[in-house]
Amino acid sequence: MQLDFISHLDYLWALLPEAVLATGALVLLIIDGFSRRGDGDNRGVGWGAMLFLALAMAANIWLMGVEEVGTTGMVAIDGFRIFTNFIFLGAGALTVLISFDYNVREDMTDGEYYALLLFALVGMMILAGSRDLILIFLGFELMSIAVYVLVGFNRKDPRSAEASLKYFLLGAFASAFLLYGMALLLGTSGTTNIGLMSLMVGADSVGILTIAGLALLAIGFGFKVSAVPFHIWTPDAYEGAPTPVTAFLGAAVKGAAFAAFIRIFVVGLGDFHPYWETIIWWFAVLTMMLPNLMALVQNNIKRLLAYSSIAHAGYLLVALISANESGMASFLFYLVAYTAMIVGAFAIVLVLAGKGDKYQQLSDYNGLGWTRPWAAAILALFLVSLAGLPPTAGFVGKFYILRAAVEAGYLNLAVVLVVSTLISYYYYLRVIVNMYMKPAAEPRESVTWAGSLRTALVICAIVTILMGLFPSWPLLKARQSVDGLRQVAAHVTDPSPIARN
Amino acid sequence: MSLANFYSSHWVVTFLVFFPAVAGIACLFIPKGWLKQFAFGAGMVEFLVSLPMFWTFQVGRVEYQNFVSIPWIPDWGISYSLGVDGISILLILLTTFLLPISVLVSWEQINTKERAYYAMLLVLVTGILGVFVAMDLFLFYVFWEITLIPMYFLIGVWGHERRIYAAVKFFLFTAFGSLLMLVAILVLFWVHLDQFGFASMAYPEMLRLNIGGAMEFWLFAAFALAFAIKVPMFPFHTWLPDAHVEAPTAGSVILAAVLLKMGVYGFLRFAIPLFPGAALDPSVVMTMLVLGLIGITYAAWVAAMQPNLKKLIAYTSVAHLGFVMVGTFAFTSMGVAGGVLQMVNHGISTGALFILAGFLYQRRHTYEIAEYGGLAKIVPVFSTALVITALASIGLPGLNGFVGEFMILVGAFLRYPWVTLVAATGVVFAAYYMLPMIRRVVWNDVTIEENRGLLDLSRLELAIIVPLLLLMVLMGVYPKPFIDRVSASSDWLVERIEVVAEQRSGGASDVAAADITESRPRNR
Repeated sequence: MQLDFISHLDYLWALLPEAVLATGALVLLIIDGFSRRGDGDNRGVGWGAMLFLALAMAANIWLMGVEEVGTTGMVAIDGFRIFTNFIFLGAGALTVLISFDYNVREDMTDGEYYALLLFALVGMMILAGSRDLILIFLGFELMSIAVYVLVGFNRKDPRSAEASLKYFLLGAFASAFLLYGMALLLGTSGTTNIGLMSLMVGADSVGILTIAGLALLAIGFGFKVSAVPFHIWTPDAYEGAPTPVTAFLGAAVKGAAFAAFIRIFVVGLGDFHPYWETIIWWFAVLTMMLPNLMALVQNNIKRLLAYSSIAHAGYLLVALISANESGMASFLFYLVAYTAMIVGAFAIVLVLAGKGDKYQQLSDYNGLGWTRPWAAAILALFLVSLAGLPPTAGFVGKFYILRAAVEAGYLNLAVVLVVSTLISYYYYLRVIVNMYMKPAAEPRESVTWAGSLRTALVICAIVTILMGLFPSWPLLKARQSVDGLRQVAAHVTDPSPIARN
Repeated sequence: MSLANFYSSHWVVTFLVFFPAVAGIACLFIPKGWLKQFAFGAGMVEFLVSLPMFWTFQVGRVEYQNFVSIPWIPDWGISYSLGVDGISILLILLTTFLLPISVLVSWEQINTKERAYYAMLLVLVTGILGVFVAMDLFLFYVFWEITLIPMYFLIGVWGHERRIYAAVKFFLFTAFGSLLMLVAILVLFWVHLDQFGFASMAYPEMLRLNIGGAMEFWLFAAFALAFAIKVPMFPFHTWLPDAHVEAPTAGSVILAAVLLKMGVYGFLRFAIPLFPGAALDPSVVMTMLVLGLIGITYAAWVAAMQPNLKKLIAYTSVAHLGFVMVGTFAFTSMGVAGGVLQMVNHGISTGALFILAGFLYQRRHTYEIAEYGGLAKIVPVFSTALVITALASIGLPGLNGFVGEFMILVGAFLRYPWVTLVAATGVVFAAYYMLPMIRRVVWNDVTIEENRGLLDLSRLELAIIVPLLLLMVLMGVYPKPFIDRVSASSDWLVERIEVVAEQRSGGASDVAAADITESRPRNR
């Protein structure tokens, strides 16, 4: 099927996965509204969400056979969008799977939870798949508002409310920055279409307003992807949010913001690389170093993983600044790997925390390796992968990012990346030290490992190992997905002394 | 597949690399009662399968044997490439030889969490053997890093009091070097793509590169740092005494006998042949030689002061590895071959020393030298073994240590007589720290009454130590078969270096450049 966007109906076809998911969210809301309340269980709604996720996945597969005309349409139908859609839907499905028992345990059994999750996913998919600033902003807001609510979903927990408020205030602030930046770019270029923007301005005649627009946009995105120094909200939001939502925040929400970041800066405004290079370079350096240092002194596992997640945003910024096909492909690969390992890690944290999230200190993990060998071994696997040690997906992903950075001539960033990785080893090892090398704490009440959560864990673990041992297929897919993505901006001068192609 | 086929193809190497990991994972599911037997059986299988390689290895051939190259991540030119040559063959056999011994050493010493212990031990061997046979830079790096995790657990879980500190220090020190090496590997990849137009991480491909200039120096520095930390060379050695003292006996044995050799091996396999220009730079050679000499003398003095038996042995490792580095960076065929041989010798004699120290600890739960004395009267068999091993470690003629040290000294003398002069004092220092230790442990009078009740070596302990003692004597009396296996590869290495030297001094010509890259027939 070929879409040329002459008919308005074409937009519906182009947005079919999003449409399916949005319909699903509304249907779930309505069904939940009419169903009997107070039975302390919202699993049914959750399975409904799984159904619609599967349908959206099918629509996304159908989308693979669709061709678009031109590369400046408002809605992109390209490999990048389809690949990220798969990641978001997968992350959403994993989040649903790990939410079932958590919601019951923490008594957050309103069905809106799953509907909001779907709405957030719709926002993400629009965000990562559009080529128009307006649409991108709409996607952002759709995603963010749903996620603000999700972060504060545990109404009985003041930490959750605090996290939600903090996230909301700073998120709204960031949205303002984004809008300012978009407005300035619209003013100088006369278009909101990011495919046309660099042509309209012309890379040689960049004025102060364009640069200001780029800077504001970068700051807005900096907030959204929690780049240092705009990361202050992240640890609090991650710690206070219900744990499945934290996993969702870490994997999908950040990934979606990054996808839009890359689509605007690398694909759309790649011609302006010399102008936005400096600010992103500093973002990357600070975001790699500072959170890794901060994580060294954390005693709460969720907070530790939150800082770790900020540091991973720093690694992804290196992929972004490389601004080449390897960079974009490494982003896609890393996002898959990262989703698997961070969701898996949070899933284990979620179960071990026990009712009321009581056990979240690192000292609660003492001796876990011998009292609960399976949980500890799998958590260790995810931590090793997050640390980027072979033979796991995290290593191959980090290797890919490094490869892109060296290709683009950013040897200095590559060195900063490995040094910050070294620092990060210390705190990942700290958890492992506690689990395996310290005597067990006093026995605690047993925890239940629900079947759905087990399934999610097994999927995450398999992905983490397989992508580490046999990465060639996902690597190929990631690279194919970004083929030709930068044709619009193909004449960007490459800063690399030793780069090829 | 016939047996001859097995030993002439890569299957023997592939089997040796992955069998321990498979057996290690199986360890997690074996009933407790059969666990040790199973681990020992796996170790024996590994050793017996590897043993014929000593004879099937074709002496005098410089090509990699048992070579294989199967695409792994074709997009990036990464392949599953393995190969064996004179530099690695003895190290492989040393590793497999020590595996069953390590299991036996742990037999009575490890009583907690045995399943995980044997699993880690076996997986560690997979990583080490992988390092010794990998012929692809990416694959090499993967194996190099894989060795970190099991060793970290072995020290951290089954070690002594300060085990966590030692384990984390070990991990961070080694990881620091290897991460910079990773960046250098990536730069090499792009340089190769630049010069030859196709993606490859294969080691034989990398040998064809002609880098030169500051780039070559920095790449060499990144590789050399990773390896120097692992060796460990003088200023980077501080992690070693901690790791050794805290590790369980088998951990110390593996650490001293083979893990450290990965560093020297890295120099011989990668840092020197890939960057001959930088390695041959006079300032680099001087730095390496001086650091090696400092290692020999300084570590000897520190060792002499140690009240702790295990720490003393740890410092002797630093001194011995200093010898090896001196031999390597003298760039004479005899020096390099002596270095390789000395690595094996050191693995056997230091491994034996750690094992004997472990026997003492098993009996008295202390490594303090002052706690012993007069053991010759109480435990004569043990004392005999300790004395022989210590003499082998010092380098007494007739025992293995002598051959390697002698070759290194002669090899270095051919180029740098003054280096030999300083290094030879190291042999004297070795006597200076080792003999007083022997005197205080074995001779003297029995000062501590508790020692009177010590038991002599059990049958199990004899089974552990006798093969090591036999090998010390064999390699000391008749080292020829061992040297033969090394010399073709060490000759090639030195030849390659010299071709570069000629080229640099006589102005770079295309002919000379072709000579370097074609100086070795490559397996394609």
